[in-house]
Order: sequence, then C-alpha cells, then structure tokens
Amino acid sequence: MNQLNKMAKNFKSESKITGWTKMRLLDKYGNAKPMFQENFLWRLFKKYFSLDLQIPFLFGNWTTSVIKRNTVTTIGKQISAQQVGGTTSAPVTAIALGVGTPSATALGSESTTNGGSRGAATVSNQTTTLTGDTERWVKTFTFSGVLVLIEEGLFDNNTSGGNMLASQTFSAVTTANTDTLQITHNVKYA
Amino acid sequence: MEQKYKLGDKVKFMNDADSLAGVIVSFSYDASIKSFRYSFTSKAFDVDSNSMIEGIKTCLEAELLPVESAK
Repeated sequence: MNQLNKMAKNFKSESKITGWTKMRLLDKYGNAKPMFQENFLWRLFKKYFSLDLQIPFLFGNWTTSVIKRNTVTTIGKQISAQQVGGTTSAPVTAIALGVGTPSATALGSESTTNGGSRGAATVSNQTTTLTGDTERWVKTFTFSGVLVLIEEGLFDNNTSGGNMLASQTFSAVTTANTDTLQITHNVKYA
Repeated sequence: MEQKYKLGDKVKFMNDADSLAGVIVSFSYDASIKSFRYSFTSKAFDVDSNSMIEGIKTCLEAELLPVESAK
C-alpha cells in the first residue's frame, strides 16, 4: 500500500454513491398500467438463471409505481469525481432504455425505435438526507409501438455512446403505441 | 467560432415536442469535441414528488432546434 492509500484510509469522512429509480407506465388517457415490482428472490433468479418470473407474492407484486435500486458503475464514479474538479466538460444528461442486460459500461441492447430512443432528461438537484445531496433525472418516453424493456441507464451523451453513470435491470415492461413511461432516476452522494 | 444560439433563445432537444422547449441560461465551448454546449430551462413531472419540478437540460449545438415564441 503506498503512502497516498494510507493517507486516504486515515480520513474519517466517507461518501457513498447510491441511486434508485421510480417508473410509471401510463396509457394515452393517463391511466397507470400495472408493472411488476420485483423482490430479492426475483433478483436472485434474474442474476443466476436470467429468468424474469412475474409470479405475484413469490417474486414480487403488481403495482402502478415501481421503485428499483440501481448500480453505479466504476466509470460512473470516475466521471462523478471528474465533474467535481472540472476535468471533464460532459455532464450526465441523458436517460436510455434497453432490451438487454447492462454491462459495466453500457446497456446490453439499447432501444432506438418506437419512441424508446435515448434523450435529454430534465436534471435537478434535490434533497434526500442532507441538503442537495441528490441529483435527479426525469424523462417521459412516449412510445409509437411495442417494446419489451428490461434495462435503463444514465449517460453523458444525449444521442449515443458516452459514459454510463448508473444502470438498472427490471422485470419486463411491455409498451404499446401511445403509452408513456415516466422515469425518475436519483443518484445520492452522501 | 460563433455560437448559433444566444442567451434567452427558446430551444428544445431535437427529439422532444415543442411543449418541452426552454430558454438558454448558459453555454460553453468544448474544444475536445469542437462544439458549443448549452443549458436551458426545463420543467418535468416528477413521479417521485408527484409534482412539477424545474430543472435544466444540457445539449450540444447539433442536438438543439429553435422554437418560435408565441407572439
């Protein structure tokens, strides 16, 4: 362990980056459509067997508002640090959806059709525990056809590529023409 | 090098509806990608707080479209 690592270990103040996402699927009349809120058992089966078992009570429950904890990537921690010092000029501005399984750096299969394309989100600073400790990205997708979405991520590029700050997988959300999906993605620095 | 949009111009992200347009509040030049980067006001319905929130959107010059203000 070098001198810098020893010094860093001695600092008492620690900071964690955590995130979560809230999603709502609405039809063209604004009525909320049911989505599957997964539990620990669902996550276990998804991780080890790649199964999306939408069995109520055993693997979760049907609800109109799903909350999901996300994974902050290693590159996400790097670009967060770079923003503090200004060594990057590209803020995280976009929300993307996909139909695959996210890797450490990108979505597995990013959606680019039927209204599911990546786009600029409305970003604001919010308070969760400490004043202004949370950054919030909000975007509403309006679909023009069927998509079976299972992943979502935050990026520093509004159109393609870029660095992924955080991602999440969720139980399949099937969209129809004129449906809207409201996504609120929070990342807390505290 | 001169920017296409000025402070106060009404713009929107290219894939968004006109109703999601906002007013430019700041811009900077990113030499690494040779493009201006703009921040503009944006409102959105926030499911988390069940209310409208005011935030910003940040886009590159090529990702923006001008929106005519209603006279």
